[in-house]
Amino acid sequence: MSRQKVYCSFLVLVLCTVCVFVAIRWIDAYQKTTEVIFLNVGEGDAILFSQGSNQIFIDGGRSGKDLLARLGRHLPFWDRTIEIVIATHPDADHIGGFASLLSAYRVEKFLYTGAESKTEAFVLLKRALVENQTDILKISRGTKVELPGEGDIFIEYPLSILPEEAAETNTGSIVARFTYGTTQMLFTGDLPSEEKMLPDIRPVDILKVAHHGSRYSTSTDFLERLMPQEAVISVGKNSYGHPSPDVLKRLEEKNVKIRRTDTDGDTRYLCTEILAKCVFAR
Amino acid sequence: MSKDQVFLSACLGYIGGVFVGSFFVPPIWSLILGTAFFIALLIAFPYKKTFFFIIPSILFLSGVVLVAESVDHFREGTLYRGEVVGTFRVVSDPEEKSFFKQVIIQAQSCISGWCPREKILWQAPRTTDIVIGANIAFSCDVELPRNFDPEFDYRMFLAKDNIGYVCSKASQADVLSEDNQARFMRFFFLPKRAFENAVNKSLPQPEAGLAAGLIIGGSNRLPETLKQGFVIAGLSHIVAISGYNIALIAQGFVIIGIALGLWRRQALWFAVIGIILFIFLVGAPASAVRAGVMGVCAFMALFFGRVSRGINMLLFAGVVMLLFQPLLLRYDIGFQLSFLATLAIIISAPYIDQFIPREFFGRSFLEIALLTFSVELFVVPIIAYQFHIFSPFALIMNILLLPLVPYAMGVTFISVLGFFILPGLHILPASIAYGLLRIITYAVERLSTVPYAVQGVAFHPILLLLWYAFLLSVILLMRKYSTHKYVQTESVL
Repeated sequence: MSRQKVYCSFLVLVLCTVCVFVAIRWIDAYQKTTEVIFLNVGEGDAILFSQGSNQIFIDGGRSGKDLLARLGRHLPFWDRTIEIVIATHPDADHIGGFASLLSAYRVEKFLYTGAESKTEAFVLLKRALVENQTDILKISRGTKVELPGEGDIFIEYPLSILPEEAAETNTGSIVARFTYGTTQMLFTGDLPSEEKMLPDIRPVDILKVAHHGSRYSTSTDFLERLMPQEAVISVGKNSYGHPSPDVLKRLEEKNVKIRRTDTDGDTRYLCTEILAKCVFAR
Repeated sequence: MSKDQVFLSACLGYIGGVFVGSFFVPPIWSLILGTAFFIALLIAFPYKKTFFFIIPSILFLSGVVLVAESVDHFREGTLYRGEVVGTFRVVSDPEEKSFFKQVIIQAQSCISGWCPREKILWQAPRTTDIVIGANIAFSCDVELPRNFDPEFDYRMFLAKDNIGYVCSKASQADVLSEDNQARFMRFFFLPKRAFENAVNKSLPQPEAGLAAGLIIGGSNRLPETLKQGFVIAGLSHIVAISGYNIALIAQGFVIIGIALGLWRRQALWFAVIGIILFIFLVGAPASAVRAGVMGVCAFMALFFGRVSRGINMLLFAGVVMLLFQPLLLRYDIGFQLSFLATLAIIISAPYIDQFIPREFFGRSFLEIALLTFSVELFVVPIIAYQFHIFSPFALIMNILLLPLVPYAMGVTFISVLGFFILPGLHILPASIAYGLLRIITYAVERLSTVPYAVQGVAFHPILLLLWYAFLLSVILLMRKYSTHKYVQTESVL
């Protein structure tokens, strides 16, 4: 073998070793990273919790195309499994994207309150759940979803499993609290008058503003008891006037930092074991 | 006059007639007067050369009459409207829209007082479980398509596909038992479905939507913002089945054929069979068939390097398509772009090959860049006229990103094959495909955030005609110069 070939082989070997080393370090770091991402899916909610190869969704926006396009930006292309999907309530702007999600990814468990709806979005979702043989579980206050690493999601509302026929879907919306180290996040779905509905209101660091910033949610009283430092509004182009200027004013009065998916795009919080908390990351 | 010239003038006669009839509806008396004048001319000058004009002139008149009749039929409200009840067949692959499922149906038999010959565009509920070929007991108070935007003739846009009516809410739509035709049509679309499913499961969105668009056509799988981004970048043509995509696929088949040990000519036939199979794979919609024919024309011309034969083939293909549907020339932007892009490739490829030096580093890149430039010269004016936009970055984006397209298509195809054989086998090719597709989506996403990436333009159609007349003159001059040079070189040697 010529000297040149020996050098080339050595160089290739070194490069391959470096690549493998970098890949192992990256996968290791990726497995330890926990992210909470409020996806910019227009007027609707879609929140992704990602910890290594484990993913949990709270709501799935209105459109499957938008949901999958945003998800594709945060998930490695080889990861085709979503471990848990939680539907806060059966409105189209919260479950509309799930049928497409189920057809493109393997979804292991689907959690919901038991409330159903006759809307097209819910009929399509039910059909997709049956076709994909997804495990369906009804949940209420007390259910806890523990992430394999640090962090858990605790269901605070509704207080019990709901009947299939619910006249008003928003009032049965799931409220979930995510805890990671010292960080507390509250996800309020579309729940109106939270201060009257929730049995106990404890302070949080980050609040997902209810009902895309509707004036019937996020009252001053609620904010005073919750004392959030940051608030995320999942909102898009709409004809309802979301987010309401009243809500924005209330948040500003309490010096809450407002982040909006319509103006800021996907809003990402990075949770690390070293800091033992979640911080905003672009 | 050679046979080729007679053929060329006959084709141009018909296409010219369709063009004139599409834009200016001539009064019947002018046609009669024109015919009388022409007959008088033939009697007064009974020379052989005069008779050569008979066929093109007759074809010109037929073109005018055919297209004028079609325009009249759809535009002037000769269509009956009201409630229609009967048995209908689904003739298109249902397409998911934001708020409904778009289904095109054709009447089989009616029990109402009238039965439309034209197709109906039905906005079915998204929960409707229906597939192509299905027979349905259908009842609806159909309407004529309405033009919501004065700049866009929606009614004629649908008319080019022979769709005359819209049904926004059907009072009855029950799927009937499957007959042989329905079964055949459903099986016909199985490969397309399986392909889409495999792409969806092996690549993340929106790259999966782009990959499906590149291979089986259509931008409807892309999110609205990205779709708009492709328009801004002047790249929306890559996600429509066009002559360009077909020519690429044909080239791929030739490479495979030669690798399998076929001779050049055998490989060509292998490619033609491959294209036919490919058109079946995508469900053989009319647009794909048209693109297939044009793509094969371009590919044959490139393969044999004969400009005149390529142009004749393309014109003949155009004539056949316009015989079936004369409205395509004015109202089908896909037809216009595909035709012009193919023409640009056929005309420019031999010159590019002739004028750039034989061997140097980066020759293929320069070749692609020049070919893209010539295609842009033909298609940009029509895009600007039809969509009222001009993208200053379109040329550079096309030059930089188009070379990635054949590789992205090829690796996606291998990945899908891997998925079919054994899911998991697809991961390596899918990762390469993802990398290539991500470069395209990244560039498009970045460009769409650049200010002034797209400019609004509006101009008179006469300017468009002048531009194409200018291009034609340049081509003729180049042809003359090229022939002259060739003769001189021969004589010197």
